[in-house]
Amino acid sequence: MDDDLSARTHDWSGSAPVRILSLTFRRGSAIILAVVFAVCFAVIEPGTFFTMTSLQLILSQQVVVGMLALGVLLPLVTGNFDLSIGGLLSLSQFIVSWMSANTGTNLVLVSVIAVGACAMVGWINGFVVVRLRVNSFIATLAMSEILSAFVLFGSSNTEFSARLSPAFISFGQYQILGIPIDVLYLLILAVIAWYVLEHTPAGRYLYATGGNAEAARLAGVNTARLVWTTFVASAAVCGVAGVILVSSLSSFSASYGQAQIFPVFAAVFFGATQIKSRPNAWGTLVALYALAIGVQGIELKTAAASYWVTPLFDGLALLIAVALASRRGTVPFAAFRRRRTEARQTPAVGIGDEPVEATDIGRREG
Amino acid sequence: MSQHPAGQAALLEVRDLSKTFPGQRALDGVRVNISRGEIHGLVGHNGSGKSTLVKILSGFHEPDPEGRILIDGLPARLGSADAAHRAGLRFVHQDLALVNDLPVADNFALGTGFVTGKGGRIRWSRQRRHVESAIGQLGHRISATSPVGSLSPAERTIVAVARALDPRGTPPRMLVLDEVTAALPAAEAERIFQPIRSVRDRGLAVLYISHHLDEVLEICDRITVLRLGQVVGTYDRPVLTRGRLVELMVGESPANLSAAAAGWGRVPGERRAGLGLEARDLAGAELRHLDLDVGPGVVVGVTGISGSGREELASLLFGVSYRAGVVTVDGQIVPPGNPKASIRAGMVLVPADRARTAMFETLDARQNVTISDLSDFWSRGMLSGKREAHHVRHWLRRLMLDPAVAGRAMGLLSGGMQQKVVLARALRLSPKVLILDQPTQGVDVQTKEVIYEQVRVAARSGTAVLVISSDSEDLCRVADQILVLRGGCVGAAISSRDEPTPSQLDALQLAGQF
Repeated sequence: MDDDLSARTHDWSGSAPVRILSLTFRRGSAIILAVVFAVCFAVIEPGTFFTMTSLQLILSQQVVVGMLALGVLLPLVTGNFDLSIGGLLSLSQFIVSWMSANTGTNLVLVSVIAVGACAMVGWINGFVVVRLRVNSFIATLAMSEILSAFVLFGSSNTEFSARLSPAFISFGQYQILGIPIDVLYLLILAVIAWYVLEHTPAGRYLYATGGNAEAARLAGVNTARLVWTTFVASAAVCGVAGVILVSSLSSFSASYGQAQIFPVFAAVFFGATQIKSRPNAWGTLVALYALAIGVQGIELKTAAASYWVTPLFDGLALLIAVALASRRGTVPFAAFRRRRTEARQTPAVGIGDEPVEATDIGRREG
Repeated sequence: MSQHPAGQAALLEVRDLSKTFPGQRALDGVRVNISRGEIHGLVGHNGSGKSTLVKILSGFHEPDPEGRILIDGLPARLGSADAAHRAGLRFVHQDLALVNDLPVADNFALGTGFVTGKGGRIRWSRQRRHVESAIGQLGHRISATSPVGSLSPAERTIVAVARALDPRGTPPRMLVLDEVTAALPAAEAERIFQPIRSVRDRGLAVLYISHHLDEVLEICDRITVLRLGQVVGTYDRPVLTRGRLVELMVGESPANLSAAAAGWGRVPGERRAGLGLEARDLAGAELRHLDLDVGPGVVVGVTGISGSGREELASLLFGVSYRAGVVTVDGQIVPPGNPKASIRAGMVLVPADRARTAMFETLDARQNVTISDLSDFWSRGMLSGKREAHHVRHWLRRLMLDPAVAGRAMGLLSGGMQQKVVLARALRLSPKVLILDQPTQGVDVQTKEVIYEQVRVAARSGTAVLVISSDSEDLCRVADQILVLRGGCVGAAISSRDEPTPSQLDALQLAGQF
């Protein structure tokens, strides 16, 4: 991609190529990163890195994290966190595994029950955040713990195997043109998220709510219902991810879900600096796979130390990407903005309450 | 006029003080003497320069070089908050600068530090005793351990005053109270008069700034009136009446307007019953049983000082918060607490606090314009960017904005451009009722003219327009009828046929009764 751009430099007049190049760096650092890594590892490890298996592995391994990231994207766009995604993933995974192992229920029905249960939990999240006005970070953190307790109780904290029909396994492990089918599910989900966020009024309202919830409400947006819906959607996506996870792992472990929270948020936040300067669907996937390629390559080189490579790499990449994006003086997205204390004209003391204004009344009672 | 109360020398003497901002002279040769042991009132209407004067005293602004400030006869330089503090000047501003979550004792420490022992340990019991005795000197008992948020508004003010007068360090000599009662109900405000008098009786000078003239007349010994950056005069309280004070402040007698200030019912209106905006018995935190009618094609202006109910009128009508009373648009009742329902009923609001309640700084101007209604661009499952861009271009041109603005982030536009964008959002809905709250606040002159023009255009096309503004010029320029709110009720109603001037409107806002 770099080669491509520099080759065209001679054809274009003026600053257009420079502009495009700078835009690529600004909004596409993850793509550049991914390409650089791919080239490096291809040179260093030509035998192992650029094989179909390795590629399929990279693609497949990230499907669940990718789905959770796309799910959590929706509440995040409105400025709300959903930290219960790990617990929801475990819940869905547990329902499918347990019901398949202990009851003879049809697996399609089991999957529907799992997704439905997750959506119900999402509805409760929405209720607590919207109606009871609990900060989403706290509400979903608490829900995450409650779900953990439920799953640990149900599984007695033991790992067990699901009894799956061959058809159900192929639902997760089938391949089309060499692409694992679960990767296609992820792509379909990304297309849906992209379509909703970028091409429907609902998406516009979501970003507006994230930008300034009170202004959105006064402009006629039903912010309460919107935020509520994003929690249900996010939870339902976690349910689907859980079903797909079981179909490929076919065994249940209560600890798997909670471990996914940090990689998921790393991808979403990194992704929010990509393509557009706000959380977005394709940016999230690009960031996710850029991180995955990097990690995979390093793991190939240092197989023994692989267990610490992933978090270290995720952490560094996230810090650098977000720091670069914040430094550039663009208007940062609300959820990332650091609250700035305004310089007030109170000489004696620097800390002040907000003066009483008409809008305060609205916020308290409205 | 009086220069000094008998037998007392000036503590603070301001001589020929001016302050020039680019393109504007905020203070022009101001002379004021404030003595020990007096409560000195400072009054003036919008733009009179009283807040500039306070900011110079507190060290926030540097005055023009020719002026002099003498404290105890010695020239003082007040270039910073520290210097003002060292000179013995203490300030309490309207927002009090208290942290509601912290106890009284800790709030004290924010200003003056804790009483500490060895190793920096806070000596809590001493700190508490110290704080409670400081408050006790003002004649009040407030526990040092209660959170400030649990106190009444008057008690909070007293805490702020006690903290400002904390004797540790430089002894205080003058207390400046800058609109501390602006947000207090009248009954609460009276509770702080006695503490203020006790400060005076301790021999300190008190400078009391307020737009509540009744308060100023009640507790001040002398009153200095500012108008358009100049001192009109300093007067002993006994020679002043309320009417006279208003006349001094605005330079015109309110009696001239008393004929026009008839009751609302007597204002000739061309409206047909039941159409446009009607509010009956509207009440909120400040407003008390207001009846309001705005007919189609009519521009009604509402003004009033802070605390008169002007600030909450728009949010009550639009249903930002819950309200008492009934609001109808074309005879249909609009449910309270639901802005979306208000918009569906044909009522649109351009809110006063642009940054907090009207704009999306992360979205571009185009999205800011169209957010309230995307149905025109939504077909076959896609938002048509092309049609939206075309539509927005039309609206930006209509509001004299460069169409190229459409793609820029709202947060990067100037205040005037932002206001035009927010106005475009409201106008493109072709509302039956358009409510503009402080539409010209923080905008440039050209934008003001555009806003006036758009209000007239909207009214001509049959929209009922309500303009709520503290800027009397706005109302004189566009309104057919003007309501002046006082203490939550309609204090006066004027028709545009009486051709009121902005200064007459100012007088009507300030005057209690004639």
